[in-house]
Amino acid sequence: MQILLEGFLSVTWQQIVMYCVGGLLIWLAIKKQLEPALLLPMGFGAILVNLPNSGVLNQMMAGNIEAGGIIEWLYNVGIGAAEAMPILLFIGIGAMIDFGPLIENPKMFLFGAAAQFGIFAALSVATLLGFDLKDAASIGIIGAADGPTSILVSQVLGSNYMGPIAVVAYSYMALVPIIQPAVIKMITTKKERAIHMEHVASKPVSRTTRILFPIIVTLIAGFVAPMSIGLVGSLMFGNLLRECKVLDNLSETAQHEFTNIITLLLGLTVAFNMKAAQFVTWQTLLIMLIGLAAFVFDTIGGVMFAKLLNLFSRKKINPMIGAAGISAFPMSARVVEKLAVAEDKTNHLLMEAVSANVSGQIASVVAGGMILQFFMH
Amino acid sequence: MFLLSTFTDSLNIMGTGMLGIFFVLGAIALAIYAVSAIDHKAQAKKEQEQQAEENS
Repeated sequence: MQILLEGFLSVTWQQIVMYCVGGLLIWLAIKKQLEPALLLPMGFGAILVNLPNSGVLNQMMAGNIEAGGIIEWLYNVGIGAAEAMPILLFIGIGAMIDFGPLIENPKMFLFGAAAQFGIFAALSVATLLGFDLKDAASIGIIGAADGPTSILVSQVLGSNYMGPIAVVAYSYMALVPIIQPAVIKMITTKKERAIHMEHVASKPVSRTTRILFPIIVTLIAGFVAPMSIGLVGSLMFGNLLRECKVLDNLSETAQHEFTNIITLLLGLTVAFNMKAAQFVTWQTLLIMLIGLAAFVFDTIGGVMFAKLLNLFSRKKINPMIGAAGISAFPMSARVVEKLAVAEDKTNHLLMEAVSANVSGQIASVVAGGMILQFFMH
Repeated sequence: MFLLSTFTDSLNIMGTGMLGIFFVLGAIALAIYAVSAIDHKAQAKKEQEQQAEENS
């Protein structure tokens, strides 16, 4: 009889909290449709790993035999060893992205760069709140607004907070349509938000340029920040598959089946770091606050950079374009378009916003690589 | 003291990091400008030659 009650008797209050957290993530995924592809597996995984003596984690059996757990195995193979899952996911992401609008308007790259300010601002805030440099960097990378980058950086730096970091990163990415408009309205005037941008008809991007683009990006990013090659290289490899036009089958597979399989497994695997002892701590609450600050500072960084450019430019840039430089694609671009049209129905900024948003994808992985580069020495 | 030194390190990372990101993306933007310009020039030349062929 005792053996049947063992599980119920050994559950801790922290584990019960994690069942609620798991349930909340599942509810957010299904009811609110917030990043369901990641939040649902993470939520369910959080419940699985927090059941007492859970079989999804390695357990010692009688006779000193270790029984392997599937989630622990997935973690050791998929993330613990060379951060395989987040890196491979980037192949699919690269295959999905059309960099054409950015290639037509390369100055938009700078907005992607500016909107990574939140990563470093959050890093500094985290150090002031008592986190050591590696943990602060792992928390700051939430500002990259990119789940795989957050997972990879926190894993490589050996942060103990990978679970909360992943949950916070994906949750706030889904909340961009709520966070960004509030910040943008605080730091811009109605007049600034109503600035029209001249749509200059540019020549279509040739196939040659589209093929050279991923190679050029990989080489430049690779020489300056070699630690970013895993992510940048995967992203660009996926894009090359798309743009070469001779591997449509592989490109389609990368965009759909491959991405779906990795996404499905990644969510469950990240749950390995959502064990109660690691997650139910006051540091998790701090990480939620710092993560929010990261997104706020990202938006501020992008908008203020656009305003700075306007001081020296005759053709005024709508400063909201800067906010679209965050990596949350395509939500950030849609937020900017919606805000622009709200001020003036004839003011459509989607083209410029998408260019900035897409450059944020590259900027965020470069930022992740730069952070790792610091800790190499 | 430790907090101050860690914070100072973080500011150093911020400065170098942002500079590095701008440098990388700026270099990529310039490279793309150059490649696009060369490509458009080559295309224009090709079109001119085709036009000349059709006229003759």
